[in-house]
Amino acid sequence: MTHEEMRELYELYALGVLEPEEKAEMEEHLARNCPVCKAGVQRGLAFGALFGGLPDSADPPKRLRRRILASVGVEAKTGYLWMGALAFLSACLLIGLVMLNRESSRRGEETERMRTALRQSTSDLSKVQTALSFLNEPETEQVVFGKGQPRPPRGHVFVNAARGVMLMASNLPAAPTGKIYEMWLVPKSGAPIPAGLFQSDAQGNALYIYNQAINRSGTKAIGVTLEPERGSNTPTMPLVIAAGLSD
Amino acid sequence: MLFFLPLLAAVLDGQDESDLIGRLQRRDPQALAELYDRYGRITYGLIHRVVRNAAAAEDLVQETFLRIWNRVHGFNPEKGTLGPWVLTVARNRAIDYLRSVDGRMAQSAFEIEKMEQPSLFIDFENEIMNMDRVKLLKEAFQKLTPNQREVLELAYYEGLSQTEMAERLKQPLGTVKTWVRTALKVLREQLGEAAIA
Repeated sequence: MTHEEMRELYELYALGVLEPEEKAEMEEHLARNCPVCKAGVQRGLAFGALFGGLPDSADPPKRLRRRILASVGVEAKTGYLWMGALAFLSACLLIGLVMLNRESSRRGEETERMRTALRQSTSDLSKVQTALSFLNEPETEQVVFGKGQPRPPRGHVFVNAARGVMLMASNLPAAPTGKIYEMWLVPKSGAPIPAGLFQSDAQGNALYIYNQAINRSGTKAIGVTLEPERGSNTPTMPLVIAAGLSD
Repeated sequence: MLFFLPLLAAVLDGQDESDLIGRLQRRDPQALAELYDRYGRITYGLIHRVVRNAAAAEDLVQETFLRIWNRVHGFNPEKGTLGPWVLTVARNRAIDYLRSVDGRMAQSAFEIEKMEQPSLFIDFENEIMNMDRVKLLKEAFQKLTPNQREVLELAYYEGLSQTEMAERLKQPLGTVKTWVRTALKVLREQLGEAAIA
């Protein structure tokens, strides 16, 4: 085969699609370092490379780049980067969670405070409603105590045989630590009867209702003493409040 | 026009190719990243065109770049240009895959690998794959008859020999050889021999 004939085969040889007998002849030339054939094969290779540019481009998936680099050991660097990024994100997440937790805790405390305040308000409202109801009863009688006294406390005691006793006091001194006010029903005969425990507020006011029927005709006075927190069965003198009832 | 963009990008970066080759030979993984950034799209496009299967194309692109990575020490950074070599390896990997899938092992992997030797790609002009030449080839390709285009595509994208083409197309071998040789002659004339020599 002449070089002129072989000229038509270089591209096919470079593409690896030459027939076996033609390929054998080509390789015989190349084995002799034939410069014409060598140049021809290079031309064929260049042609083939140009052909490779003809297909429409297609974007490979992004993971392919990582995959290829990982296969030569770049995954370590990439891995560290990812680990670093992951650690950074984790740290951010942790800080966020702590802040969120604090915020949540703060909000929880706030909510609890509001709940307590609401409970208190509800309780106060209920007490006021009870007091109004108590006052509206036609049988309720009123006794003023402390009037004219130079020292507090002062206030009113409302007595209703069916409903019980309501105490409205002001200028009550704060009960010492471990002490509490206790109301007493003082009968005309016999020992004083315990009628419940209460505290004054920060301003020294108190509204206490002993919500239980009493023996009005057998009671001569309503008293208040300072007692231990658990309360007492007998009053500890002196009386803080003494409101005498009429016969 | 979009199909030229990967080539254009690769060629515009061609100035540093000897430096890139040197770094690849020194086993700088970042150089492989640059190589992929330069030729990854065109390689994937070519392989996908041949195998027409995205998952297989990914595997073969990886195999191509690993082959370049492992054999680049035989490349002369002063005299070589990577583009034709990368595309040749890519095309051959894809053809080898097709042949293994089709059970066509008449052309052995060893035979096809002979055309991938880095030493074959020395003294290529840096502009061998520039945009103008690919455009010229594209235009020239359109001037071929459908039969001529088909046989060249069967050779390049499916790796069929002329005998295999004749069987596939149910045409006499002589007819197929005429189509192939006429097609190549037309392309040579359109491109000008100097353009690809």
